Amino acid sequence: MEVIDECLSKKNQEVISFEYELEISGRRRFFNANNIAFGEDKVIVSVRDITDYQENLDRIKQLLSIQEKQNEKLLNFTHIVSHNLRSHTANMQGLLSLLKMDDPEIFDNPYVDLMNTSAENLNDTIANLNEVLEMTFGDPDDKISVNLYKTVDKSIKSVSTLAKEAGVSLYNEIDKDVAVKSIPAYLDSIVFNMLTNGIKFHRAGVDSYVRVTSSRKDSFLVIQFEDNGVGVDLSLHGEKLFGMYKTFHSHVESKGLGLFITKNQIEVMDGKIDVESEVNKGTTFTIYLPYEDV
Amino acid sequence: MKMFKEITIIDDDKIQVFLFLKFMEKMDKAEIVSSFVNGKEAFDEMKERSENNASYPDIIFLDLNMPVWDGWLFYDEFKKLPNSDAITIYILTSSLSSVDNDKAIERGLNEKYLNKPLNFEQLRELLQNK
Repeated sequence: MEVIDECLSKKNQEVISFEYELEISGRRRFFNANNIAFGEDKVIVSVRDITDYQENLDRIKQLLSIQEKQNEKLLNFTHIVSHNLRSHTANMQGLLSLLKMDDPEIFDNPYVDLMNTSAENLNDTIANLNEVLEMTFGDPDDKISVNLYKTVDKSIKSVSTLAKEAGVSLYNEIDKDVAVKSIPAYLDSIVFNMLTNGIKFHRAGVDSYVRVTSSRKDSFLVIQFEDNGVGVDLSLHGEKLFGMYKTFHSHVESKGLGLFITKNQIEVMDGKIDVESEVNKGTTFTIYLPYEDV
Repeated sequence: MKMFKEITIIDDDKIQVFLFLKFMEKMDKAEIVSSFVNGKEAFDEMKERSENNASYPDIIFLDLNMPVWDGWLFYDEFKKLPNSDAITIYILTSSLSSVDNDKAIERGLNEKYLNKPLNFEQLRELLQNK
């Protein structure tokens, strides 16, 4: 009744809305009522059942709170990895280095030597894990305009020794003025990973190369890394190629993290990565990053 | 030959302190090697020295993750004490966190940020070039 009086007292036909809940046959239902004055002494009331909407909203809120809790757990976990685990492996390595100084012969004992290797490997694993975890919290807002040609050039220089040893030629065929909006550290890491990947998986007996090109396609800047290396059977490994700790070639040293990290870094920057490959022909990775006028 | 009067490590990790003391003992570069288990304990000592006009250590190796006062709190408070600017502080941490790295850059400590494990040669070179 109060609402009706209020409606009538309003000269400008203002809609008064409120929500209420009722228990109907044992189930809580939610309603939304809109009231508007009609003439001098009438009020139009329209009532809508918004139970489904309300229940979905509650569900979403619940999911969000679960997600927030999980995020927090992940952050704590990152902290544990980057501080606690690390300090123990550092100590282990430190103690082993002291042992080496005091008693170098003891490393002739394979147990001790293997323990040393294990400590080093553990240290590497933790460093990798940390890199993956830190990336999860990467901020897409950190994107700035970066010259792609220069980025590739810099990476090529830093892997040139590796390439020379493997007999792989690297070609930077990107236009000198192509710029891309990206998180610079990620872009460096992506290019570096793509190049080292191409070098690692080169094929013996051919003039090996990795060729980097770029083009525009719709709203994307497309960067391609094409090689004539050993290739990978995508029908066999396609699903797992970008997974964590997946390795497909036993003959070269690989930790199975490179592509996983690369893919994640690309996705944080709202991009995507595709791969085409044929065994004993070569592989082409195609990276799409959002094109923005820079 | 002893090049330094006093070198200090601030770290709650007993094994790390043990390692550091062993390294220093082998290097024989400092007359005194002192250690503190957290930032607060170290700060209290430094404050007292400052009030009594006693000298600070020549070099401080500072861990970050510690109970009571962490490394950053120690660093910021120590820097407020008179004449503390002359003291070289190295961050010696197992942290791989970019947050800590950023904090180091903010304070101009990029060159003084060391990741554990600190090896013997690295430490020796560091003290040699001081």
